[in-house]
Amino acid sequence: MTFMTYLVLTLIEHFKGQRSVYAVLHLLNGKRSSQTIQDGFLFAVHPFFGVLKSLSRSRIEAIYAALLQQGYVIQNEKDRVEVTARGQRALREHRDRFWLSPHLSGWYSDEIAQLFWQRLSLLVQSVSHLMYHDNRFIPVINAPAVHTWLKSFLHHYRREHLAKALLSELEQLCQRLDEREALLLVHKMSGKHLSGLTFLQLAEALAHDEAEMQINFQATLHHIVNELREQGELFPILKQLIVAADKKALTASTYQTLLLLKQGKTIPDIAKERRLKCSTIQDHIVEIAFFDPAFPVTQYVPKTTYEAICEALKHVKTRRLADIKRQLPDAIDYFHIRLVLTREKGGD
Amino acid sequence: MLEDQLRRYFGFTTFRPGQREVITDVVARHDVFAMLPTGSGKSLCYLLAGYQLQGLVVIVSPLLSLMEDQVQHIRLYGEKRVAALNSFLPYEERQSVLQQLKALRFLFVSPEMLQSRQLLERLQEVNVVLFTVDEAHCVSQWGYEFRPDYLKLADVRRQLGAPPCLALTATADQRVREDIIDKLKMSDCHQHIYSVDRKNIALKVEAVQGTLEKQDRLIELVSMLQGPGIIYFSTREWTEEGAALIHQYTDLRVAAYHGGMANEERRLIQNQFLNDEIDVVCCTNAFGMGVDKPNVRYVIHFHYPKHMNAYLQEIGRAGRDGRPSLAVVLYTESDHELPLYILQKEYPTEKQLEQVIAQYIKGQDKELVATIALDVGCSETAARFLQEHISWWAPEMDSQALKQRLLQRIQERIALKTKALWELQQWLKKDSCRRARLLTLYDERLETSPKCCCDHCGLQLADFSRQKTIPVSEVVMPWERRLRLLLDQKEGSYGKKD
Repeated sequence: MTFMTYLVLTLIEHFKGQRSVYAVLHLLNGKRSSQTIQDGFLFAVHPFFGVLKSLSRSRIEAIYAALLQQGYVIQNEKDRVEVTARGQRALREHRDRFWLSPHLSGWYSDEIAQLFWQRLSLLVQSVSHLMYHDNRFIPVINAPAVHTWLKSFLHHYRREHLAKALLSELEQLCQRLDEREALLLVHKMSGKHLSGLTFLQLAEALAHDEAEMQINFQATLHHIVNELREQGELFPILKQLIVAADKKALTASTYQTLLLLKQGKTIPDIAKERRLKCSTIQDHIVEIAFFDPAFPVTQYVPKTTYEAICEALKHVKTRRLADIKRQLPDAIDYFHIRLVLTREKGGD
Repeated sequence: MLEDQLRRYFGFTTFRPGQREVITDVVARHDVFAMLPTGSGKSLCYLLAGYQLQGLVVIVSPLLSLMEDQVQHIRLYGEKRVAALNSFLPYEERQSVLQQLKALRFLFVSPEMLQSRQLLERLQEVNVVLFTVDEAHCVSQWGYEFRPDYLKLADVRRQLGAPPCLALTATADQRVREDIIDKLKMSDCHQHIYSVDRKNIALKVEAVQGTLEKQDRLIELVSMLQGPGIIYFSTREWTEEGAALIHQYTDLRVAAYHGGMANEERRLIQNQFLNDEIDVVCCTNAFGMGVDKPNVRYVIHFHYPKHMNAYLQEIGRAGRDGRPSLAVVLYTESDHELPLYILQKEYPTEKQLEQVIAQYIKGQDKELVATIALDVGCSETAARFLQEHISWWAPEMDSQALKQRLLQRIQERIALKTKALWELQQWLKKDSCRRARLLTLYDERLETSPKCCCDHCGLQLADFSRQKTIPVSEVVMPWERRLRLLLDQKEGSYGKKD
């Protein structure tokens, strides 16, 4: 079994026979649809959100076909897929063979982590070359915004000092990481005479799968972002590479809704003004609630309703919204349930 | 004087053949047509001329990826006043380039961007001192890579106050050269034609029986030849398979490179190759446009390209340092079928054509043509073909006439490309001097054969056999050590070449 097969099987297992294999694809790709975002929390798979953006439809279909053929999964009614007893056994047997870092945090950290890595890798490459007074190298990162950032950043430091300080911070940081995470991080970095390795090269050298390297590298970055958020004062240089997530994370339309909400407008007001259906505005609000832990959900859900939903969540085994709703009075609608789900992760 | 600047800006002490002559003529404000072989430093011509002329140099470049590589290349020389404009750039970035136009020295631009009113107006406000047309063979309908948008360049140049024009190409026969000069309206044109022949590259072609034998032969060759080397394959899957084979059967450090890899990963491979951290790259033709590596010792074609121009371009990545290098093509009989199929996919089918015409309304934004074309299942190349031709012809034709005209054009293009493919295939089967035959295709004659000429002139592979041992490299090391190698000057001498 390859790591990818193991990963897909693991996620199918998480979805508890209630989603098709494409839910796995959308999750790993980080598709910003309300369905995928909601699923992330409903099935507690949000750490995997967007951690394999390069995964293609055809690739996952091939993996799925192989899983079906081996009898690890079966397709139940409505194209949904379920792990068989045989599949469960395979999962248990392979659990120790694969590396899946517990620090994966796709939903909360992915975007910041990507930018952090772009900045860090360009910074290390530049400092490494500057030590030799060499400014002719092909930058590993092409994005103009990152170059602009680096230029102004370097402006504040003397180069001899920067190399020393950066080295010492990175050493400290690596000590806080797992050994394998530290190894991945430094081998992705490039410098003078020493280019970073591709995931494939790392996989070959460490006898792992390419996807295993990719995902655990993401996890390493998530781990780092978390460390820097909590212990920023220990890393005066590195913490500057972290930026607050801005509202870009929301889709443009949702962001419009957010602006109007901030002006104190109600859902019907906004729907009318934007010529959208109320249900669309509700979708937006659920999306915002997922993104912003501080968003006041209780403004939209009466206290008693909130409590009733929490109570129902304890009893409902499935993650199907319809099943949850059936447990509740008719007056409580899906919008309420979805909003509560952004805060309460349900059973398990 | 010119030499001083050559040293100051680029760190070179001597010009390569043709550069000085071209620059001198450009600086004297003549229109110049220059055909310089690949690897001869064409870009240096407009760069150095630009420093002499004191103003903005506009460079028209046909491909997005090429443009990015060119910009990067110039930045490597420490020149930051360079930018690229194309329609794929996000709106904000495009605006930001337009804002700083006055501060720029070199502007790369796609031909279709030059149709933008806004850009033209901004360019009219600055002092454009040189109008460079790179890959100028795209101007000619007789050329392999004809792009209709290139035909509008003469008019654009006029609107910019008719600055001198420098047309550059690596490969063009007599007919294409004349066509370029005519279509670009280069009236007072000085021509500098240099041979396409790269004398330090020996040519070899081997026919093998079937794919398995080809793979075996590939392993034999890479095992014995002195690297670094580049191996070209026709598909992404094959680059990976090739790299896996070499990894398994040799001690060489090898990697695959293709357009399907993430950008960042591609750059790592490219840098590793430039740094001599890997010996062999197995790649598609996506590799190499921006790679100026002097010491590539061989290029092997595991699959041959679609035409002679591409072949010359690709083998031209060998031996840029002037030292003896080798180009080998391996082919089987079955290799002859695939290119024709790929070639046809570059154009829309009649049905797709009808669908696009039916959905496209005259006067609509031409970007839409490509979108519609992709929707009905055209390849990207086919979509671009339709976009350029429809915006060119649609204003003056009804849809029936448009369809007929397009069909006719497609037939012409396919015929021309089939002929080019056939020429290459004939060349592979040739039993006399390959160099002489190749030159006749470009209306040249072989005056003197180099010592290592081709497999029909007594080429000895042993002359290219491996001299140096492959360094044993420590791929993965403890993180403490790698960090120090990267950032600690005392440790950093690791891997430094002597």
